[in-house]
Amino acid sequence: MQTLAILLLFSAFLLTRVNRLTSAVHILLVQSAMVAAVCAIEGTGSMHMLVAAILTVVIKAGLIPYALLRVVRQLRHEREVNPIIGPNASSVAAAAIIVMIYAIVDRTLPSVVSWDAVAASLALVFIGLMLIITRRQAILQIVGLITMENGLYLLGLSTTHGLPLIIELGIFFDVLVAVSVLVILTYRLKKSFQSTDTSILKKLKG
Amino acid sequence: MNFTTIYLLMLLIFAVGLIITPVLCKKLKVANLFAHGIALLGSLAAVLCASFVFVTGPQAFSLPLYLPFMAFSVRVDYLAAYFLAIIGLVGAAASIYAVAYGREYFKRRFIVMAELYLAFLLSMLLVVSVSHVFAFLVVWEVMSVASFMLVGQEYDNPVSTKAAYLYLVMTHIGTAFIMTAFLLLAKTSGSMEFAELSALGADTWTKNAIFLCALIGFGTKAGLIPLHIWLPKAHPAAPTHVSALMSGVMLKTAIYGMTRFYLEFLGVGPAWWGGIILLFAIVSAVLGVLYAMMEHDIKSLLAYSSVENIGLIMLGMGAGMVLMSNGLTTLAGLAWAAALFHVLNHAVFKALLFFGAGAVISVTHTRDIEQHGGLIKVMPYTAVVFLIGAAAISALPPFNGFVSEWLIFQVLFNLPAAIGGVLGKMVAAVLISLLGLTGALAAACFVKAYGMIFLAKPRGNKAEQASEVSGFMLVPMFLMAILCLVLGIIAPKIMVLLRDILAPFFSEGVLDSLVNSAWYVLGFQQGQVSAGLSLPALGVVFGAGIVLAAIFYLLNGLGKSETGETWTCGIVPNARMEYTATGFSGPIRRAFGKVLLPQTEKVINTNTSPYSGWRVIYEVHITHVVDELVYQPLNRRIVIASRFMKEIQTGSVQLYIGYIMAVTIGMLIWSTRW
Repeated sequence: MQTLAILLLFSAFLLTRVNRLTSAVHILLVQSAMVAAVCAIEGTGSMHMLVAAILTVVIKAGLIPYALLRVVRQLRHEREVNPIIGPNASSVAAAAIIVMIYAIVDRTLPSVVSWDAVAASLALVFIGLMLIITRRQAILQIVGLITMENGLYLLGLSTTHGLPLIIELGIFFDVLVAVSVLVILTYRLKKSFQSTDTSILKKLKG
Repeated sequence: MNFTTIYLLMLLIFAVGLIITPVLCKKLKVANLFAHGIALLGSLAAVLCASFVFVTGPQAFSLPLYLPFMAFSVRVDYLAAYFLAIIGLVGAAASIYAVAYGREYFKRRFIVMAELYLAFLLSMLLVVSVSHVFAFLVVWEVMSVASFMLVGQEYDNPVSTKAAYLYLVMTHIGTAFIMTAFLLLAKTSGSMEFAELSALGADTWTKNAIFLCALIGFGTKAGLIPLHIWLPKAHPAAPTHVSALMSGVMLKTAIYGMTRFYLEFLGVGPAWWGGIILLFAIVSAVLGVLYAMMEHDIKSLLAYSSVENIGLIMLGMGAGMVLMSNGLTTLAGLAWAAALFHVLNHAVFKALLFFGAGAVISVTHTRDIEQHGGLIKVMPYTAVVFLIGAAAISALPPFNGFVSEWLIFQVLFNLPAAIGGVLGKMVAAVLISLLGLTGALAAACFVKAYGMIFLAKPRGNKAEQASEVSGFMLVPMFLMAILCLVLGIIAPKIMVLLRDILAPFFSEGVLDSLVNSAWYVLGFQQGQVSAGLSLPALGVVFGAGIVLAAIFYLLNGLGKSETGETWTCGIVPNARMEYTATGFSGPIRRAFGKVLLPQTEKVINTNTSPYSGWRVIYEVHITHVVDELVYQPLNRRIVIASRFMKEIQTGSVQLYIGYIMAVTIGMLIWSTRW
């Protein structure tokens, strides 16, 4: 369990360092698979957790990376050239986030059993948010979003030991729809502006 | 056949209309007949629902919606049925009228308009019949949004869209207050069902808060001064059949809401509640009619007159609350009955007047009454029904407006009994004299409107080429005109109905003295106080008038009459010699100069030919005090404040998400301090 938490944080840490879109999607795939593993280990024997784990594998480690890789293949020569904060600085920031979150969770929820899981998932959420803020490439922003979503899912899992299945299905569907829309938008962005750098969207403001 | 079936049938009719109408978008003529026919059927079904309730007693049913906080529960008691009947009645007439009026919009989003019209009508019917806080707020919003879009129907006209947005802002401010009132109420009573809502357990502060929130919220919708600014702009901008519904009926849904709150949910309150309502009501009545008098746009004039009539209705409600808090329940019942009676009457004659105005506009294509004139010769039927409407709204017997205004006067005469002492007499005297002033000004206002539109010679080219409107317009106008007369004559019967409506909110038997056995006498008695209005007595006065006329005729004959031009010193009389609307309202503008603050602008051009005299352009604008003192400074402040907000709105996606992240981290850190 703790190993998985560390590995998850490491994957998020890695995401702050990559420039190439394909590697980012691959890291994301591994990360989602780890989330599914956490889900399966946490709920050993429970049918409903098993369903959730399988769904995570199918949607987050299967469909979403597949869709992202497909669009990435059409975006040749696209990479994060000029992030708002460079790789070194964002790694430091991610480390700072991890330290801060562990400190906060240690202070607020010292007696909770799975506090390390809570802290890891919160750190994942904030690293995801930071990725969205600091990267200009649309695909990397989507990767940040999914990282955040993974963190939220883990948070739900570690605090409640499984939400009702209907709500989980809703969340999965939500993510799937969001990612499909984002992928389509990214493709459109490429077609209209010959680039998937989201800072050009600033021009939309009147 | 039970109530639930009829009610669901009504919903089904509207649903069919809403679904099928867009399918007919290629055949506009069919769509026109179909959509408005469905609206007519649905309105009649609503009237049927209401009559069913009046015959068999209050009805309620509930359908589960399988949503949290939400149940579609319908409760139609006598009060709801009364409003349901009014909406159904006016809605039916407006739907017939819309068939003719809708033709003008064939080239401008007709299908959208028809759909919105159906949705608007349906939402109003739902507002007065649903009995769950959540459902009420939802249909209230649907009603607001549908009417907002209808106000903006002429989307290419910037005046229309501006009016629509002003309306949207104001109505949402109102909804916020209504929501607060309902949530406070639901919190104290622990339920969302109307039947269980009650402020009995609340402390004084909560009760006062609920009262004020409901007053501001519903007052905005009703167009109570100073919350009225949207009304005279929005009502004229909508298509006329919608204006008739908005003025005649939509404002009444606010009255319905207030009645529910003040009569049912809040119970008897302190006297100052009623006092506040009386204050706003009399200000609305007097200012409303003064602004109406100054208005030259026929639909704005009618809209301001609605402000006045809402003032009259709320005068009855306010007096009722004052009387109630002093234990004079019978008189309080009379006051509420007067208010509710005026709700019905105003719905009928305001719809009639809007229909008449729409007919005039559809042939002259202008709303400016200075451009009308002489239409009585080409549109005799419209002229007759408009005259009936004008007489009814000016409270002339035997029409309906007279009865309800007489009742309001009676209530005010008895107000000193509640307040007592010199203060009571003073308040009552001031209110009565101002009400008298309002009535006189309303009469003057409609003399002006009628005279400018229908009498004398045409003032513009368009008025010259006018002709009578089609049957689809005339039939609803005649129906409403007949209703004006009938409601005036069967007023005692209506009082019986109103007694039944109000009885559940009063103790047993308190209201029995409001009605009496004779169907032709309207009267009441409370201790020493009594008053009556009998049809035979009125008949005698009328008869005497007719006899007098006959005697004069016998003595003098009709005299010799000769038809010819008016003698104007040898010049052929033309329209420029006529009395203008500005001229007609001049004396009143001067007399009330301190309130209206007229600003005149006179441009004299002396550079014309020496033989033809000077060309003088004279313009006069009145100042809308509330607008200039409250809303314009507020508007400026908001614009300045939004300039600061602009600084943080850069358009960069990353920055926006950064804000979210900063706030989230801030909250996390904040949470550790606990």
